Amino acid sequence: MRERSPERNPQENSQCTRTHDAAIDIRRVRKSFGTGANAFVALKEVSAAIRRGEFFTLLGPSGCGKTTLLRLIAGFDQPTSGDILLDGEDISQLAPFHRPVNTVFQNYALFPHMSVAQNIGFGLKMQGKSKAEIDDRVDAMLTLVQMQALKSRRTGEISGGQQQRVALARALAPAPKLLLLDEPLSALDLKLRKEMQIELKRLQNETGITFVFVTHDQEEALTMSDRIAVMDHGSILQIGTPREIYDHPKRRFVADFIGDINFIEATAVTDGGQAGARIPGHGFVRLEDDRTLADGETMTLAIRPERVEIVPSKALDHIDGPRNEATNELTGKLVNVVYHGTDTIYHFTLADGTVMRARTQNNRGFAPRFSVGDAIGWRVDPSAISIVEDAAA
Amino acid sequence: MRRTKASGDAKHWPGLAFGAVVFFAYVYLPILILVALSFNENRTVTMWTGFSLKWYAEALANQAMLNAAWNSLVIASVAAVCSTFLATLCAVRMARDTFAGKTAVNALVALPLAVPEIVPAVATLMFFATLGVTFGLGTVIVAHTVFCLPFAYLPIRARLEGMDARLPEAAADLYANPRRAFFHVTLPLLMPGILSGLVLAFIISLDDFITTFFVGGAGSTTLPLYIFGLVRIGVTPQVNAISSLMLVLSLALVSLSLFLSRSRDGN
Repeated sequence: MRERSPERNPQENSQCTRTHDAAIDIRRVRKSFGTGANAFVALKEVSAAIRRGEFFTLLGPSGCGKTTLLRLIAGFDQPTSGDILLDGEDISQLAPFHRPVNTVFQNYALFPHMSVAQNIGFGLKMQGKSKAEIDDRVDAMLTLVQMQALKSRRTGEISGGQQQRVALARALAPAPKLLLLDEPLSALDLKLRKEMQIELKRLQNETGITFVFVTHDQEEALTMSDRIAVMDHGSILQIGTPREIYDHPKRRFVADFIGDINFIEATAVTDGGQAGARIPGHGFVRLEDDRTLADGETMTLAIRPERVEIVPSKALDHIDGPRNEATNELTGKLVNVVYHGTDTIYHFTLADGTVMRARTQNNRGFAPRFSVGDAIGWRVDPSAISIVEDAAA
Repeated sequence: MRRTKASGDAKHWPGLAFGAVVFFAYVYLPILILVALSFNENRTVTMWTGFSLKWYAEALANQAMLNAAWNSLVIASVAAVCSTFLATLCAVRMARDTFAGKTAVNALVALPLAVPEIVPAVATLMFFATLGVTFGLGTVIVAHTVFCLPFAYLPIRARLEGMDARLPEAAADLYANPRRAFFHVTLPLLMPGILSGLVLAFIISLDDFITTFFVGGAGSTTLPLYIFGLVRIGVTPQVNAISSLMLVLSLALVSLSLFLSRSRDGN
């Protein structure tokens, strides 16, 4: 689950220069609101180590605790228990204005009574920087986000995308150690959102600042992040690179939340030294998941539709038999074919009625080789099968 | 607005337009007549003989009237500033977080609006009498400050409620301590509401009769009290002129208040 939990010496405080050091170390942080019977636990003992210079995403549905965690890092709320370390220093009790951490708010929260340039310079002014220094830095920031032409406009007079850029520039201007972004792209339309995704990555590369990004949009998380923490019900379920999260989900929730996926109930088979699973009414599939399995243990398999290949069922008698041990081939019955433009989704059922989906790209145009009602064969590579835990948290 | 001529729609009840005309005539016609007659050359209030500004000249040369106007101005200014200051403190505190009984406090602040003015006026009179305070400008100012408070409070609270709660948070995030966040972000954004409350409190104080009548003393005669005294002696066209001047001042201030509360982004 936890990627790293670096052991730290007590004396090693703020001046650590280890290359793989955590910029933010969240240690067993709990947060509950209210007391007694009305208490609401927003975070249940969350731990995560965010590396320096990383684009780290907190991904989850609304109410999963991702914004709560962000607010704890920013200092707007204090954790009920646990510590938050910034560069080795405990900041969990510091006021927000004492933390070298800046935030891009969901609806930007730009100061409406100030110009674009005044907004960007606000943090520097509060830090007591000289006017010349502020002017230089504001100019540099305006250039960075390409807003020079609009520097004297009021924030109410610029578009949503431009407000977004100003919010970014304002948060980056004081050169924080950490930039927090609370669903910053959710108010933008699709086209602008795509542009800003690229823009955000560029800004992160150019500034080298650690970004902690909160989103409920799985696609946004996959395309932008170095690592993703998937959250649900106040817990982090899995932390990993987008590929790890997508290809090897460890929890049913993670697999389901990100992308499209099939779940199959199966029984573990461990004899012959080869890890595998028996699917009721079908045969045996080989697995590559390195999890230690007990023979006969029931488990849930997760398979991405694009990793399922539909094949003609020439020798149906054999397909669920011994042959599939070599090819991982099983049978099914085609119940629907849905054309999606770039690809086609085949819906088929297993012996126990489980509906599965297979996605194939329409590389050579749409030419279905199978029709609804056909008995078909399907094949999946052992590396494409993940074993997921069913428990919620 | 897809409503057609539905019979149940109040917009189409018969006689509604007529009723509206009667209403407006009843409210505004006397005022219009008063203003028109203030320009009447004739001494008899009800007979129009020609246009003249002489009553205005006479009113502005009347030292007693000028004294009363000055008193009104001093009382209204001091009371408006004091009540707006207190109302701002109260509104900011009330908006900042929740505490037990917050709803009750909110209701208590606004309650004087619903209490007949005569009640606090008499109560204040007895209060000052018990304390043995000399009645005069001071007592009037204190009493006015108190009853102006809810009027000053409401526009400020409305402004605060309309304000994005994340703006002070954004200020704190950008290294502003609570004091600087207040002076650089909250206060400037609140300014239209504060000015609007200030003007409203000023008008309410300027207009007040009952409380002033009860807690006033020698040398604290305000314009409404002076006009009342004039009318008791007999209505002269000079009263029309003074009343018209007050009307213009009030309208100007109300317009200013509305204008201020509508300017949304505070510039």
